[in-house]
Amino acid sequence: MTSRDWHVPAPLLAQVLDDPWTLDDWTASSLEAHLMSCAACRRRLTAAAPPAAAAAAAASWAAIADRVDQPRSTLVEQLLHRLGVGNGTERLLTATPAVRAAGLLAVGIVALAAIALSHTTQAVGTFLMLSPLVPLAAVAATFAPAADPAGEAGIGTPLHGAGLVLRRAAVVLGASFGVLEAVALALPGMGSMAAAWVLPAIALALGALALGTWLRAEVAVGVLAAGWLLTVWSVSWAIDHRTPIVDSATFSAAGQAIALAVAVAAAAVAAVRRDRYATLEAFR
Amino acid sequence: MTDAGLAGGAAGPAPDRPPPTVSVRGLRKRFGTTVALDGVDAAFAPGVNGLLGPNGAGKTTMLRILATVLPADAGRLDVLGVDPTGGDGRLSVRRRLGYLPQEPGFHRRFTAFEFVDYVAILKEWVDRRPRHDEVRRVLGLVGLEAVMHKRIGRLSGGMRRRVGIAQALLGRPELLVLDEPTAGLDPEQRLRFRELLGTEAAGATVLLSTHQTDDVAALCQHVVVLLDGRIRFSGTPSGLAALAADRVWLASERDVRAELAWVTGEGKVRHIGEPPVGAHLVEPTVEDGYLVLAGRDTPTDADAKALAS
Amino acid sequence: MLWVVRLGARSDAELLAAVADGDRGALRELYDRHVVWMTVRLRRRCADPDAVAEAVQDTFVAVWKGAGRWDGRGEPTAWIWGIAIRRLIGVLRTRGRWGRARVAAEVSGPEIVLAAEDQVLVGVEHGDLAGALQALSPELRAVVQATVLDGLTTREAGRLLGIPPGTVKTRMMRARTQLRGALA
Repeated sequence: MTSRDWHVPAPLLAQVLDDPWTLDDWTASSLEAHLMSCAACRRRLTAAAPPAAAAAAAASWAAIADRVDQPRSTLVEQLLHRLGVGNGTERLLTATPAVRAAGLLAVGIVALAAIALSHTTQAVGTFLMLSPLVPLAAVAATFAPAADPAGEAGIGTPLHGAGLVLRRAAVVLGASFGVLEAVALALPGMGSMAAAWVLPAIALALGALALGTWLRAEVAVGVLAAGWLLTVWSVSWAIDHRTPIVDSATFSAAGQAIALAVAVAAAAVAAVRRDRYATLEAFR
Repeated sequence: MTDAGLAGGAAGPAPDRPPPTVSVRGLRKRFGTTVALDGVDAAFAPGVNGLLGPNGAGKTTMLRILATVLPADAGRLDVLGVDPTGGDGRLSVRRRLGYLPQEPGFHRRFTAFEFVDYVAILKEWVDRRPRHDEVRRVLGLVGLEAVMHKRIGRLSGGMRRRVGIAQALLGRPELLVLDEPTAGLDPEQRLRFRELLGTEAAGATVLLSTHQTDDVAALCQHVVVLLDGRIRFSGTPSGLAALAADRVWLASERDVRAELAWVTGEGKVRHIGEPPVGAHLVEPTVEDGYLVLAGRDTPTDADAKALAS
Repeated sequence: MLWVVRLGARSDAELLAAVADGDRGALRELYDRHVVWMTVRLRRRCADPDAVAEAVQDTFVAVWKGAGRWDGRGEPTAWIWGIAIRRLIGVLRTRGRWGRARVAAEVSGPEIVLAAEDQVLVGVEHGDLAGALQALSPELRAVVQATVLDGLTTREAGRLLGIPPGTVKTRMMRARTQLRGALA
């Protein structure tokens, strides 16, 4: 008999299962070394384990499965979790891939444009003109068809509806406003206009939520973006071809008042028609 | 109510059926100029109810409306005791609903577990531990335990369908609306699905749509045939088969005058309609009944009224 | 369970590859195959059953996450054991317990008398070294076991046994001297 044919005697298996310390070091080390390379004896050892051990192993597996099954969570989710948003809500708010992609892209573009232009005289004006488009795009992404990874199956769920859209929009607006304001404050020459973009941005975002009850997300964004840019350009041109955008009436007190009025009206419309977000029609 | 050729479906369930949990009256829906549902009356009781019909017949539209996913243009609806057209009714239904759409549209980068977990969150499973236990449970029911952590994009079509079935089973819903649940499943998986419905969905009201007449025969206690947005039959599968009673023949060759004939697996030619020479009568199947209904050899109104139950 | 899971006779190496591919069923099977010997072996390093249980769980979670890192060479069991012993050390460290590993092997309970043939064959696993090892004192034997058999570094062995790395080194040197003498 070679050592290949040797297998652990049954009494030894029973002894080591009962209490491994009853073995002397020499026997134990030999046993361990053998088990490492002999699958048959490993099976015999497992089979010889008492029922209590089997139950303990099953419970232990449940604990392992629990850790293994944890879904991967992103940085943003972990941040929201720290902020106290829990119980799955953080997944709901950030799991939408369109939101992430749109948000990052838009903010990135505006930031780069702002930096590139920060040495020109039109930097402030360009920033004021472009920055409201960022929250607009971001909000539209929250109710676009690609927004919810659950797809049509998700529509038939209790949490689907205007409430969810609103919560997502709030997160996205909060994030984009924060970043944009930081960029605004960093731009030289901003001065008192640092917040002049805020009300127009709110008006556009709420406008998107309102228009979204009639139109697809992409169309709503297109309409509002075009409308905004046309407004800014035409107002500055109407006064004087050489007026820099920053001095445009769009950003004056009167302009801000109009933006506020638009925002309120859009909010009212969105509120009245919010039921459209609860079903498939808004997805078309 | 204008559906001729229909008896019993709108008036109420057959005496031995439990009272209906889902009923519609005068259901209408159109998309632009296309009429998807043209005044549909139907009632469904607990058990498995099949919706049979070709593409474009309105099955998906009807299921979507009953699953609160699409609003109807007109009609009275009663789903699980409430009117699902209002916000409160809709919420009440959604809390007791499991829905599998024809095109679930998963996000491909999610794993099966993450997807079902996400839907569970949408279904108000707030606490992580019970939610994960439930996700594991439904994925186990459809046999996807081993692959639950693989990305959906990497799973086969049949497996993806099973992920869809799993999310519909979350929370043991009272109402299961399944649009083509067996599409893409191989025969063994379809058999398992039937077993699954029998055990997991006992007591629930199941509405499923299918092209497969043998699914209807094996699975459904009640079947409704939808053609061009109208219900053409409502009754039991055997009642549907009976529409073709005394009209199905088996011959060794195809009769040139036959309206509907095809070669079966055994090499014989099955005919529906007038008997060809030398043919013998056979028992009609659900498929035969459906073909009678859908084909040119349609029964008269009196026939249908007498047969449908 | 309505869907039957076909249990093929996959080898440990195949199971590890499947785990690296995200197959949870493969992890379950690895667990079922290896949990008992791993628990027994770890219990011989640490008297605390809770620490052992925690180490076992940490090990399989680590296998789930890191199965792709196995290079495919050598025995899967050796790779898994390498993870397990290091997880045990990690658990002992977090629990603030050093040197819970029992060093002395006191025979308690009924003695099992091996058949003469078995004794010889058990010894064959380690060759001539077996007898010489037996002659070492328990402290020296523990150090040899930790560094040679378990493949730990000096520092890891120190953590497991609760002694400074310097002591590990001196004891190894003394063990080597003794063993050289015994084999000569």
